[in-house]
Amino acid sequence: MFGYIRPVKGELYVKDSEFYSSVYCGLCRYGGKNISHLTRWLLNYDFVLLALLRMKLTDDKVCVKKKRCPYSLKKKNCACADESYSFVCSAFGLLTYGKLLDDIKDEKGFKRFCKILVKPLFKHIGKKSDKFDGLKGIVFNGLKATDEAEAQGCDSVDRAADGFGTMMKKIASYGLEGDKKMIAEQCGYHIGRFIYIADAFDDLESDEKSGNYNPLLKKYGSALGAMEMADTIKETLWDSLNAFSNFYALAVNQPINGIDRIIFNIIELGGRDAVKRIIERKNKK
Amino acid sequence: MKNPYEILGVSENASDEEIKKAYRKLAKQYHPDNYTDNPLKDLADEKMKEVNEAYDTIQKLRSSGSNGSFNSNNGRSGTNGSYSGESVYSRIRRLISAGRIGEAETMLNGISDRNAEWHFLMSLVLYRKGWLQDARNEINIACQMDPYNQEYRSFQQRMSGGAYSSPYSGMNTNNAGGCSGCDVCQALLCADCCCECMGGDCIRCC
Repeated sequence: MFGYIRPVKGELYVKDSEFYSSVYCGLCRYGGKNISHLTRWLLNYDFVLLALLRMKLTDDKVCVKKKRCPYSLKKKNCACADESYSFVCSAFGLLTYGKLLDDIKDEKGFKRFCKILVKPLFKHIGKKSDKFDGLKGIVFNGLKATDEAEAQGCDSVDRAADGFGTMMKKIASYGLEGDKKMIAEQCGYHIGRFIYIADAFDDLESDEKSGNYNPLLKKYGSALGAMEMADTIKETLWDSLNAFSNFYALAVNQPINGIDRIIFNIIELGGRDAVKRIIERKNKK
Repeated sequence: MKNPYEILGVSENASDEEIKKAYRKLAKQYHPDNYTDNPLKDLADEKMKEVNEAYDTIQKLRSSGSNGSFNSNNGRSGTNGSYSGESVYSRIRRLISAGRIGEAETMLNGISDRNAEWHFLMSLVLYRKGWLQDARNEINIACQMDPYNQEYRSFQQRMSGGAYSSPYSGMNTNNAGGCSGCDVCQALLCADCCCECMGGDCIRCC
């Protein structure tokens, strides 16, 4: 479900691109050390964006140090922002565990069997991640709300994406107050909405074959019908990116700094690129 | 009323110069020019008003010689929020600006006579809720019902654009960075008109 939103590195300053990589390294390292080595393999770009957003809004102190990567054995720049990492890794761990439990409930056959086999590993991740009061409730209730909308066979894209969006909104704004909370809520909601709809769009054909719920199939009747409405789907995905950008701009002071440039790049270029990639892949088929 | 020093982000012992500096920084950030045609204009206006009021209050406190300290009871106490003279749509607008989206939605759902203003306000409510597909449908209806309303048109356009302060703004519009054959012809014709006005001729055949 995750991994759609990443930066277009060609449009970033070299220093910003290096900083982005160092945040990825830092997050991967923190997760490996404090949660489980498995999180290193499961980590994705969406959570790097969440980490950057939290760094910005919580005014977390960030320092970059050279550290050796145990996998590539090279020394790499590694951004340290333990407060943000700790929260994002916890949210990531809980979400991964919650998603696996969901899949075990919904899927059938060999896939389900494999997931049951790896469940103890994920349970360990879930346990290690349960560090913040109420975060587990936010994640599990969010996944439950998404399931409920799916069980009802809801044909409104907005309503179907609301459960996941609300969950991401609560995660992004956890522990924040005032204007920053409002900005984090809106940005978080739109990350969640974008991921949910982009994933539904990406999975059109496979969901049609397997008979799984997909809000776009419900709304447009079939995968072909949804593809005919690709422009409308693209428009609503871009609207979410624009809304994120507009709300995030309220937290930006001039002159804008590296984190702002990276976040704007991820949202305004990377997100759109992800949608274009999905459409291209479908057209090739 | 909130502590004006907190609004400006300075301590009560801050010097006049520090206060002025903090005020200028915030005024620059929330200046209405940065939010022209932006759906968050109301919020930025609200912030700007708050910052101005806080600065005025501090100036008054300091000039009255009351040690500059703020007592929350000094704040306005007589505003009961009575909107008796206001239309229902202005009340809904106020609720939306204050971020009370749930109440605004309930009030809108209670209105049976749904004109362009209703659809516009519903679109704002849905936008703040994050239901963007429905928000777009509502704003499209509002624009169809009242095609000459500038406010509705700007909101419709703003939904399709990112933040002005983004270094990438404008890179995603259809004509971003490009120059089509039509643009070249149009520019040449304009240049020709200008030359003819000045007595010359850029393109002889027309």
